[in-house]
Amino acid sequence: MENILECVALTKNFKGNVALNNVNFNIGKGKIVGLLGPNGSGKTTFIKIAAGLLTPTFGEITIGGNKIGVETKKIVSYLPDHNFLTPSMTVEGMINYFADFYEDFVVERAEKMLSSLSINPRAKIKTLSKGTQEKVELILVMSRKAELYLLDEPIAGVDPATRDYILRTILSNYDSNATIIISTHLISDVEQILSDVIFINNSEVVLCDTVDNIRDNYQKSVDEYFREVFRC
Amino acid sequence: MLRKLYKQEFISLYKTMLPLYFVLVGLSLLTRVFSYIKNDQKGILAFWKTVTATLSVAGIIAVFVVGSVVVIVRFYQNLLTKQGYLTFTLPFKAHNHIFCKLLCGIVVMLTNAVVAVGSVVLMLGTKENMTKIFEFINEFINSYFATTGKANGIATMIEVPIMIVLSICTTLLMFYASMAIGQQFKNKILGSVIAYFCIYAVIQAINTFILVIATITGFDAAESIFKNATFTTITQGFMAFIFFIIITQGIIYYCITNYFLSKKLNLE
Repeated sequence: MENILECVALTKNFKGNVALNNVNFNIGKGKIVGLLGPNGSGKTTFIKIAAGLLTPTFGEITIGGNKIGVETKKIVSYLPDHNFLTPSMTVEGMINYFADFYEDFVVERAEKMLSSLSINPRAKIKTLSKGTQEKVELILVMSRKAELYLLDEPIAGVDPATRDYILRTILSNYDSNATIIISTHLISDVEQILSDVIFINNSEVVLCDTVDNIRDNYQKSVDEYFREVFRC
Repeated sequence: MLRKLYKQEFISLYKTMLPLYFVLVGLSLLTRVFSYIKNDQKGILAFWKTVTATLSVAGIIAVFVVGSVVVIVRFYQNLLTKQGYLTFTLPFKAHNHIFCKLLCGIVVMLTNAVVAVGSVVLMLGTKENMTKIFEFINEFINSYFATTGKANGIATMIEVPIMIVLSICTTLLMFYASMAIGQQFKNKILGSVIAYFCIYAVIQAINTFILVIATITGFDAAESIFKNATFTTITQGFMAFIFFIIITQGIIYYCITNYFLSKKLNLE
């Protein structure tokens, strides 16, 4: 299977602290991968490097055969763990902004999702609740026909109903050839949609396997196996 | 695609500046209307005449101050706060963002100058006043050409506006470099302020060093250079030196900004 992402000897240090240490793995096209690990394990650092926000200290990531740069940003749709919306803009304004810069952005798809959630496109971002702002962010990110989606903690801090909506949105809006990497520590919620998992702990990858293999080999769900591996 | 980046930048900057321009133009028109009131007249009209004139002058100052703040804050907010998560994942390189912010910032500052001059013309631009102004400009140019020579005068008149634009450019880049360094610290704003004063201190130290060296060693050299030099050679040599200093500083600030935004971005 052709790989969408290849990660070779990836290392990132922050002023003496090792955030990622010699990380190596490949991710094939058409997968939904869970990047799982406790807080501070290096998940966000990995995603930020893949999104082009950080540069590695050593090693490299290639996406679609390209080093991180303008070409990879064209095919990667990134949902950060921070609110990136401009408070003074309207929802419609943000949609136009995405449509301006991303050729793969599908305006109709975004409008349909907004309508299904009864979000007023003319509302200013700063007038929306935190939960609604997170939904708008997800709608913007998932309305792109990207080859790789990087979703950093998309379900953290939202209520269970919104969590379900987010997971449904992810599943119903991605093309089967596209790949999704979801970083989270809320494994039981995402396990149902994952095809592969990467366990990351103390800056190192400790497991990289399919969900089916984990269930077959250990006779446990991913959540149960995760709790066993990361028991304090 | 780059066109869209500039479009968004102009929209964002002028969204703040346009209302201010309209207020200033409105105040200038009011000042003009009240200027027809005779000076010896007292009462409420005379009061409003003073108020509108004062507000118009304050408005001109506000346009320059707010304009500069908006350009600098826009760079900080759009690139170095949470909005940076979106900005830096757009399919552009860091230098595209820097150039875009710089060019749009310069255009806004020049627009401020045009609006300020326009509002002064609106306030005072009677036929009599305009004639006096043009006569003064004409007189100034003639006496300037008489002193410097026509060719040298024309060259200087072209060089000075370019120098002003380049100075704005370098000043903005100095702010950008300070913010790019400052974002490395936990308190980004404090870090930026400290970085600004550090850069300023270094530049002043270099300037003082050059001045001291020039004073100690330069007199003999200067005497031999200026002995056979014409006035044109001296002024154009001086202009070239100033251009060199401004452009060199600008390039250094740009390189610092580009390095920190490309290699050391710290959005948390």
